[in-house]
Amino acid sequence: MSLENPATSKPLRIRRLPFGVDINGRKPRGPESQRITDYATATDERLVIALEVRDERALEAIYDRYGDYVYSICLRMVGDVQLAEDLSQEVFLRLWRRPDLYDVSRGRFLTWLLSVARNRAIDERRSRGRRFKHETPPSETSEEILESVPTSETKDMAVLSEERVVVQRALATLPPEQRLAIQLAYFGGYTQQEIAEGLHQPLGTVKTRIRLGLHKLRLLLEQQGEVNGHFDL
Amino acid sequence: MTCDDIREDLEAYALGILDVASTRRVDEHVRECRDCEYVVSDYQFAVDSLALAVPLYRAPARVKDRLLGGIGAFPAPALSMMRRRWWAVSAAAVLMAFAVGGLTWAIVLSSEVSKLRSDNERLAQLTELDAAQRQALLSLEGRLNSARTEQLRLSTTLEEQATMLVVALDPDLVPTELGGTSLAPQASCNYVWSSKQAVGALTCKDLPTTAFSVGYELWAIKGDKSVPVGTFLPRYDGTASLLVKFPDSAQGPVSSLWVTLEELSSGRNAPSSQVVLQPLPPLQATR
Repeated sequence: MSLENPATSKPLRIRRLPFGVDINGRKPRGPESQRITDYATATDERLVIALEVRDERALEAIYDRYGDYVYSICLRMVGDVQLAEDLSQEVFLRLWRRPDLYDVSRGRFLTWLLSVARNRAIDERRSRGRRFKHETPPSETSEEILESVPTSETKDMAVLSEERVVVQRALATLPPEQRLAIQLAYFGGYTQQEIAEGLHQPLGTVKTRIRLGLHKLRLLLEQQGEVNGHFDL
Repeated sequence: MTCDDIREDLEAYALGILDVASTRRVDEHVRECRDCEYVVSDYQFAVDSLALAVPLYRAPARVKDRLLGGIGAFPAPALSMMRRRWWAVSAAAVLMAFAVGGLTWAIVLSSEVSKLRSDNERLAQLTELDAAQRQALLSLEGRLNSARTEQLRLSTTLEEQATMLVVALDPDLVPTELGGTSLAPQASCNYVWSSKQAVGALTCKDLPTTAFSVGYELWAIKGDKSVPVGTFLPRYDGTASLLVKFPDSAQGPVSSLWVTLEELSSGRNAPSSQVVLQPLPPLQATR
């Protein structure tokens, strides 16, 4: 059986490709092609791939982009500067040791990185145990969103800053009781039962607040995403 | 299991604040149910965005310096090494590293505490404190308290690790290897029993992270009775260690060892969930 060229109806001739060139005429990916020329503009995914070949400058570039974000979420969750510094360092060391844990098909790199930081902070709170276990949930006033500080001038980081503003505005739009319940669950790692006890509310009320709050938050973010043309978590 | 049964847990599931059993229940349902999967993905979108709502603070430059200065100590893991069996000798090496590292850290912390204390006293001598000075003083006090807490925790940990080291170096120790069940197929533990010291040491790796308020519990199985002998939590890299001292009520031969996931706050006399790790046959010995 032979294949024909549909344009000429002549049998296709099989030609051996030059060594080291793929069917599209490009060199396959190798250590050389993995080299990054501009770390500042390389995509997150590209930098993570570079971590697998132990490129320290790639780690530095990722830290420069997201170090403040990881540190801030750790600080927000553990409330201790020294501990937040240690946790931030651990998160990036973990990325350095196991960059393969990030699966690009499961979403955006920053979302994954911050979820690692959040989980690590929750683990730390839990391991320090009892002092947090029975702590009173913070008051509503302490959950106010503070002003942010700009971090970078690059285009991608500017987009990220816009996204932060969108999320903060959307969260601020929620009714205070819904916002508080969501923040206690997300940043405090409290279960719904613990939140109900801390706020002296029935469990069903807390569940409803979280459900309505998340639903509304999603709608607000989707609306903003359509207006701004980007919001890809 | 119907959608109505789990619908009210989907928000907590997306927020990651469900207990292990409920998380597993929702996991199983969502895998089979497109409608609930869709609801969860909607919630997940909102939940993932929350991390961006955090007030942004500048990370101190020393974090980056420490990170980039420390990565040389973590070369690429060699697969062949990772697949090798790790027995008492390697456990002893790891424990020794822990002990030495902990000791060094404790010494450093001790010096840090002394330094902070002298700084604190010097600040206290200032009669006129402006707002910035008061803030600096408060910050120093916070660091001092953190350092004291950490030193206390380390001294306890250090004593435990030193005992584990002694156990691991006992030439007559009896090792038992535990393998993960389908709940944690990658996980494994090595348990060594020192009859001379009358204590055991459990070291684990590749343990899955547990949910909030849930930890791993080691059980000694004696005939038809199960005795809880210790609770432990995995470190961020999936490793864990536990010093095992059998209570007087648990004398006698042990037929098996189990590791299960249990709520941290509640005491119990029998496992309440499925076994996560169990001895790889044949069981050599325990105590």
